[in-house]
Amino acid sequence: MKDSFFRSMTWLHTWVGLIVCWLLYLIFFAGTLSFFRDEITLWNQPAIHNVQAQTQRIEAQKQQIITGFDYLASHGANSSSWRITLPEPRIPYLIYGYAKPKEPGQRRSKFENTQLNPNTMQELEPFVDTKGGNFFYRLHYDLHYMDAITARWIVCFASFFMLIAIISGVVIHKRIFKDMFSFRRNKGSRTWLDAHNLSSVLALPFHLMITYTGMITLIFMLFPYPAQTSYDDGMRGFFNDVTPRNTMTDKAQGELPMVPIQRILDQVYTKWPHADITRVQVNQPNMAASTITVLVSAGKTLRDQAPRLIFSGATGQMVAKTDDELTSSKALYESLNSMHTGRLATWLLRWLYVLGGIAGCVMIGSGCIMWAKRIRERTKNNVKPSFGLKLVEGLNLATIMGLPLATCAFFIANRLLSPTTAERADKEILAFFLTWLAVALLALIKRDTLQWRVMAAINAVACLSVPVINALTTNGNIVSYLMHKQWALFTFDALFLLFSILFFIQTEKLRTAKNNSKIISPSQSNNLKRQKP
Amino acid sequence: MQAPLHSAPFDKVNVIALIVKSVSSYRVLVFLRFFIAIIGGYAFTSASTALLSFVLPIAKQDAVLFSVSISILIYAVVFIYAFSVKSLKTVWISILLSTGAFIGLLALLKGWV
Repeated sequence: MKDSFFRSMTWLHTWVGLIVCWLLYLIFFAGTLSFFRDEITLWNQPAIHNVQAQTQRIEAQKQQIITGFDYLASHGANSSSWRITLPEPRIPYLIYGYAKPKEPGQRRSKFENTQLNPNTMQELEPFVDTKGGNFFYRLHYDLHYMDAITARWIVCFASFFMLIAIISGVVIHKRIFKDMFSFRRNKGSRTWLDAHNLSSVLALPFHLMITYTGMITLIFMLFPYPAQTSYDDGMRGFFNDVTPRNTMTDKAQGELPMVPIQRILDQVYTKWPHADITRVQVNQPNMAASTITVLVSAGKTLRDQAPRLIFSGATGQMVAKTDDELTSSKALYESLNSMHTGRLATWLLRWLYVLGGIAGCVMIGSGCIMWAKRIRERTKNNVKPSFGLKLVEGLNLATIMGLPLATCAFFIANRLLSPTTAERADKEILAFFLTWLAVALLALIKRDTLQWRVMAAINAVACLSVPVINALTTNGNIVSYLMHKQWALFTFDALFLLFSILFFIQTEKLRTAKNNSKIISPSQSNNLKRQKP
Repeated sequence: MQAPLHSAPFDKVNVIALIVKSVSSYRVLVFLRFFIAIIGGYAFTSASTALLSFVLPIAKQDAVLFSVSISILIYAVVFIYAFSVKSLKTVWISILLSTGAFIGLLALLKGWV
């Protein structure tokens, strides 16, 4: 497009990045929080704070399933579907659930769930209505207050531009190794460029991987054409082909009692002696066509579809199962997906994922701040800043300072709203978006250093108030979490304290930065020009 | 005295010049470049992966999974290509022709025509 490949890519990097950077920041922000999805749900749900992790979790599963079948046979005898969700390392409680009759207008029937403490098999206190970590998980690709499919197309578009920005960014980056070790402080936009380079280069494999695989998770929406040309009945035919289904007894009519669950579990344990069962699902219990699906954890394998066995409930025979060995194409697709979701990650890898996500946020944030700073530095003092510059600066402030504050508001609302509030979960989310809107409106009025300082100070106070309000409204606090080794809750509160400190430091930095930014020596501005090819 | 050269075909030349000028204006060129990169790249990727999944001599589901797994890679390469070639005409023609060829081949193989 330009005279040289290098210049074309520089141009492309700047504009492709700038168009989508705020949306990408939201996606990265929510996505990073989603790696702590279960921990956030745990924090949001005080009823499960004191459920101890079982010492013999896998060994207890068999008895939990048998008890569950007795429970569901007496409580959900006429239900169309049962579900037993077993405790997992990050989700400490047990759920017995059965489907309630479908109400008109519902696509799926709702479940009547009973949550139990697996150690005592006592029912837990009633849960509060909250989306917990699922809110951020959904926000990450479904956005909010809009049609999910439209949102996914928008997110995919932004992700694709991200991929293009990464590729062009690598091309225009001549001194990839040297820049890993250079960080020049207090040099205006040069400092932001260093921060941008550092966060991009250090986590480059992560950025590439997470962006590419992110689009792969929605690939059948983006590119349904291969499946549509290869299968006569299109996507449906393809999905029927890749998901194990009961085709042996699904046409059977009438009622038929199910075989004892013991017989099915024996087959599961014969096949997988150390099976870590995550869920047992029963469709059409006590009918001739009933199926019992046993899902096990994929463990540390790169598989996104949980390995499962499907049995006929009436005969106890296995009717379908997932492949034991994946073909290379399937392995490729499954590994791309599982790398994105990171379900396989143990705590060390999970933290690496989170650090990668934070690096991504820094990369995007520093990129859009750098754009605004450069234009600012080039604009002469007597020239009025353009509308575009003001817009970018406003969006920068609204996104970078608004999202953390909105997140704090979400958690504070979770603790302060009464458990009996109608549509409580929606109100927590409303608190999130109202706070964000308020920051955006403030950013419309003023976007100078002072405004950034005020925002940083508010964020610092908000981050600090999350663990404080938690201590005041629940039985636990950060000290008791440490004493009782409740690491997830402790880390949650500690992270908010850490971010509170970081925001306080930023507030202080911005006080001194205000004086520095005015003195840009001629040599510095020359450097800037030379830097721009 | 001769009449000014431009007086006779004045209107015609001016209109053409105006079109050429507006089409070659920077904004329009950038728009056309993005259009072929995004829409053309999408069409190219769709057609090539559909054809690939159809002709790969492996099980149907594997062919589909493989094709979709590399689709983003193809899309990204086409996108970068659209911005790296200097002549916009070359970009448009090459992407449209190759996409057309893939669709034509697929139509022949599937017996749509």
